[in-house]
Amino acid sequence: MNKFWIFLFALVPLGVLGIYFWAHAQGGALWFPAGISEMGEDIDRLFWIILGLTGTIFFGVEALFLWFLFKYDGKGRDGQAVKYTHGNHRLETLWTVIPAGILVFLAVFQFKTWKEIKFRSNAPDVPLHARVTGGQFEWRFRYPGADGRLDTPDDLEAVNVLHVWKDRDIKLQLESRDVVHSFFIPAVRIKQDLVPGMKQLMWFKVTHTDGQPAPDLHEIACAELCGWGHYKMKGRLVVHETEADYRAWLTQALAKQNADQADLGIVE
Amino acid sequence: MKPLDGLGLAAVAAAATFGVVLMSPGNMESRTIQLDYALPPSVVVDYEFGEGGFRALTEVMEEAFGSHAAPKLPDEADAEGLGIAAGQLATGREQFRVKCMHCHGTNGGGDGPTAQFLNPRPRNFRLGKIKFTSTAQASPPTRSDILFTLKRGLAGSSMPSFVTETDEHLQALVGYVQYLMIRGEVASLTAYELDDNGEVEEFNDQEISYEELKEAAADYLAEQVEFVAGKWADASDSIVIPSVPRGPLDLASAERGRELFLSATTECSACHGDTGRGKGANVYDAESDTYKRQDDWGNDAIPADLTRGLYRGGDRPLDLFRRMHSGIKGSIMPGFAGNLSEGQMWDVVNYVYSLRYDITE
Amino acid sequence: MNSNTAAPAAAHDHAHAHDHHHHQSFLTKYIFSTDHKVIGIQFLFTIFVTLALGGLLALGVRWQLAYPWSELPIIGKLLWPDQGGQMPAEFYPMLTTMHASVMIFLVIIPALTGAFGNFCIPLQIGARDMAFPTMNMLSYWFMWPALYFFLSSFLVEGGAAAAGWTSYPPLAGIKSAAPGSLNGQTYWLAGLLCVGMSSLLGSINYITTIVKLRTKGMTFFRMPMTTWALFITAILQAFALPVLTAALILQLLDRTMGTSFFVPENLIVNNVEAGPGGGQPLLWQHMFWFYSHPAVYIMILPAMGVVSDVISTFARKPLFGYKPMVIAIASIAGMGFMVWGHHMFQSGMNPALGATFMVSTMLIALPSAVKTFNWLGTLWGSRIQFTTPMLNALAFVSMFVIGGLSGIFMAATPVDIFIHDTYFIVAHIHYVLFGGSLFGFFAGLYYWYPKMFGRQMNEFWGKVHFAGSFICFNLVFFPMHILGMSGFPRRYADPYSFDTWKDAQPLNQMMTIAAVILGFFQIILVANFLISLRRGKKVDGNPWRSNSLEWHTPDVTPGHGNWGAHPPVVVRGPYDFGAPEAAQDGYLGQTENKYPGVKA
Repeated sequence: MNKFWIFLFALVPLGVLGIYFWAHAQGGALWFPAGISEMGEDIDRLFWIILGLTGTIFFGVEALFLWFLFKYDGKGRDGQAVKYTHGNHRLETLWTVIPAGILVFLAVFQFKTWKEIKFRSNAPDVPLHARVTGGQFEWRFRYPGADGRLDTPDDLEAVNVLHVWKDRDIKLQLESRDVVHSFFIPAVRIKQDLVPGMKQLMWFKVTHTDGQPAPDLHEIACAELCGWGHYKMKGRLVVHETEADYRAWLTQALAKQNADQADLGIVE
Repeated sequence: MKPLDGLGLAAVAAAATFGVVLMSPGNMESRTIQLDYALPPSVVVDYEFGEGGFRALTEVMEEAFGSHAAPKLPDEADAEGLGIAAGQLATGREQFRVKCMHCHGTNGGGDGPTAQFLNPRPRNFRLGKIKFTSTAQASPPTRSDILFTLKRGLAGSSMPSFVTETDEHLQALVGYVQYLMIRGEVASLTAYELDDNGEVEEFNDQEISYEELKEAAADYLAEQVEFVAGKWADASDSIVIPSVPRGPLDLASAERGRELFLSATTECSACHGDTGRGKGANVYDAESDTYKRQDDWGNDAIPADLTRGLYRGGDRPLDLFRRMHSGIKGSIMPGFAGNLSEGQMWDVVNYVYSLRYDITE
Repeated sequence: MNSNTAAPAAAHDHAHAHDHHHHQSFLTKYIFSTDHKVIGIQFLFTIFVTLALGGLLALGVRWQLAYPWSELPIIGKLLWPDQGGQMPAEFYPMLTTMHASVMIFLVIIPALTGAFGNFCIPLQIGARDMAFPTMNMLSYWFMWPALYFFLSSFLVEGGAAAAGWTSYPPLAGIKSAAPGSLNGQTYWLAGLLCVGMSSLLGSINYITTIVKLRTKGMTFFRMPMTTWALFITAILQAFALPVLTAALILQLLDRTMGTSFFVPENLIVNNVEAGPGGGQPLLWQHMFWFYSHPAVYIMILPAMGVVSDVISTFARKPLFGYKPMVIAIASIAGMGFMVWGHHMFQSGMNPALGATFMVSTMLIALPSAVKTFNWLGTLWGSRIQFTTPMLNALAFVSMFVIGGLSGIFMAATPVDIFIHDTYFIVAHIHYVLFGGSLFGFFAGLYYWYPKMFGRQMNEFWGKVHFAGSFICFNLVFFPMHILGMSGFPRRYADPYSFDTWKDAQPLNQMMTIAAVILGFFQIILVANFLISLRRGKKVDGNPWRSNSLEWHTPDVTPGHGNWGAHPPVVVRGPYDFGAPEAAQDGYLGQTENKYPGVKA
């Protein structure tokens, strides 16, 4: 019967391995969404490094654990002597110092990417692409017009759809109208909370469009509980292949918005 | 292991297997949500039909419009004229159930469980009208008006934008909303006819049989379907398109608009306040912090704070022009098509924008 | 020793109490009892109720994730008849919020610190009772108003709190922001204040008892790990709780008195103006996590202590690295105060601050690693008895490894950008709190049951419960890591409306089925617990042949005052299993006055 319990515990590492392979084979919703930014690749790479490291430790610990369960099974060994020891100073030092080294290395290793993605000093020196306002339960995107300034009559305002173009640093200003939201583009691997009363800055660059026909469509989600309609804050990121494509869309959208003697439809 | 334990283990295994089978996706798919349409609450409250009268009305409604499981347009309605394609109602009903029903209710009565916590309340479609349309004051909305609301949401309300949904789903939803609005209005009008012409009373006095009552109800219903659906089919003929261009958003135009805004001709400021922040003296009682007037749905009529830059009916100049032209339907905001020239309406629109934007530069 | 002065006083009290022993009514003996053992058992019974409640709420969540917008079984039609029994969108966040709140504040914390803390501490250190028995009773009775507030919040207008167990303002603070914030949130705050009061009374009591009432010979470094862990946990609670209490009161003021501690200027939510403004929503997050990150350790440290005791006992071998284990727990507690910001990496807090929190967070993984290695060291060269408590303790170790390692992903700030607020986090907390704390609780329950009731729980059904729970637990929660890798967001009533995640539904259906069966297996636990009260195998005072002091009471189930006329004298540490002078089965109790070569 004791072997059964060892088998049961052994199912965990086996199952872990199995589900990763299975999920990878499934692809789709069970794996990283296709990445479209360099920053996303950095994050994925860091993820894999940590997974490799923790995976090694995990399988090492599990192997030792299962080996001990198997080897030191007490069945039929009543009264046999055990290793009477209260510990080992050298071992303790060893398994404190080595993991400490690994952990500090891991932390330092993350700094560069973290700084590139979030430090304001690292924001690209480009004009603001748009302002994102989160509200219950919509994203409002306001693009500055020809004057390059926000909140002037020549702005363009769109709901839930953000247009950008490829290979361009996109800088967004994030604000919230009511409660805390979080602007999340899974394909870009970027996430930033929107806190009412604060202005956040976010930037990214779409570098590859995964071979899809232009414009490339990706989803935007809210990642901080914002009320009953949290899951309804579904937006769309449209990636134009070239700046010209984007400008063409902008011109058309402005025409739709400002038409005064015809109804040209909805900006989307 | 004792025999009793073995028996217990077998029971545990059996129960677990039963659970898996019971909850398996295959088993779940056969379970559909069971819902029924009901008569509008106003009908039930307003008319003393008794059990038989309401039953007759319910039955003829279901015969004409189908059940929740199988909604259909009445034969008298011109599906093509309404723009509702075959199969759209079933798709729309499923989409509505998942995305809209918890606010707008099973019948589109704006009475779902979430509704009571929303400000403003979700629209009750059963009166056959919605606030923001592109059409003239007396006309119902067009399909593209409903689509506009679905795609753009209503800024500053809880109505979100569904712009990322597929076109098929959106078109189906538009069709289903049209269906619910027509259904609701026809039910009310048929009930009125039945009451007005006395058939229910005759039935209650046992002067006519139940079959005769139902027949009369069906006749009235057919008439009303023709009337209501006809209105809807004709809505696209009355779309408001200005013939005069807007003119630049400058100080001169905004000043003309401001004068109109404050004038006795429009009385804009009586409701929207002298500074456009709402809470005008005509509608708002500062002492008790209450609003004096209600809209057709029985909710407080709260004039918009025009400085917030959240325009529920859309933020295009054309949308604001249409608000000036046809008003906000069902609310106390009137249309000014009769009082103001198109140029004057554009001036007011420009003034409204100047409340939000600094145009002095 | 300070206990020299305390013990006679306690003995006197005991003698005094003994005079009135026969006059005690059922009410004073079992309900308004000041006996630490009865209070511990009261906590235990209460926890079965709250565990069932929290579990049912979880199943509601799981149901929606498996079959969104379908009829909620059994109660759906009753609650929402005109919706065909499908739950409305605003109910889902209530389920997630209340599931987390009940499980954290009414199950795990009271189970480990309340039930085991009360039952074990005086017995393990040789005291006659807690230092402040009446305060101890109050600490239990403060649980009930908390449960009342949580339960009744479902009945008030708007329903229960729905802003997440973290209750971030303005969503939680402003009444118009969500249905659950209308009234339910006020109830939530009141409930939490009661839980906080209960914890605070308990922790002051534990600290005082352990510092002042240890019996003769029970030095600090002869205390079992359970007592050590509970001692450090109590200190952690005593220092962290005031901050939470302050935060709760500030939010309560925001909600009821019109203040604006967490409300920024000119905020309009749901078209209602939200007070004068001038506050800062992030302030709440800082205050909340300053308590709630240490709270995570409050929930895991006692389980670590229990598991150390159980593993050493059933490995029949001394605990490997006793002092390093104590130091590890103490350093977790110390560092626990310096890592709260890792919950706020994406919150808009200065990213430079995030970088420093990343380093401290990485480092707090270290003592946990040391503990794991020491448990492995304990198993090395041992003689393992696969009893039910041992199986649960071993499960704790192997699950905690996963929970601990997955924490490193979110400590890494860039990776956290992607996995923050996804199911990766949900997987992590459940591996630590269910795989960790709850399996630790199971281990302790099976382990101390004989001492509580003089009978053993049925081993066969205990093992059935363990096997079922272990398998189903992994089936429910491991796939959440995979979901998290796809960015699958938390607290979504309908994630499948997104193309990115619509393919994840079959996996979620499997998880839901496993979750229901997992719940089903807990019925076996409760049945085993209740039936064993009457039918369980009768045992002597030390059925596991364990060394620590609680197994050396004069009676099988210790009576009032625990130790009869003479408090025990401790002569050695709690883990001298297999010492040369030990008995054949490795037993060498803490009071056994035996030395190598010296005949007792």
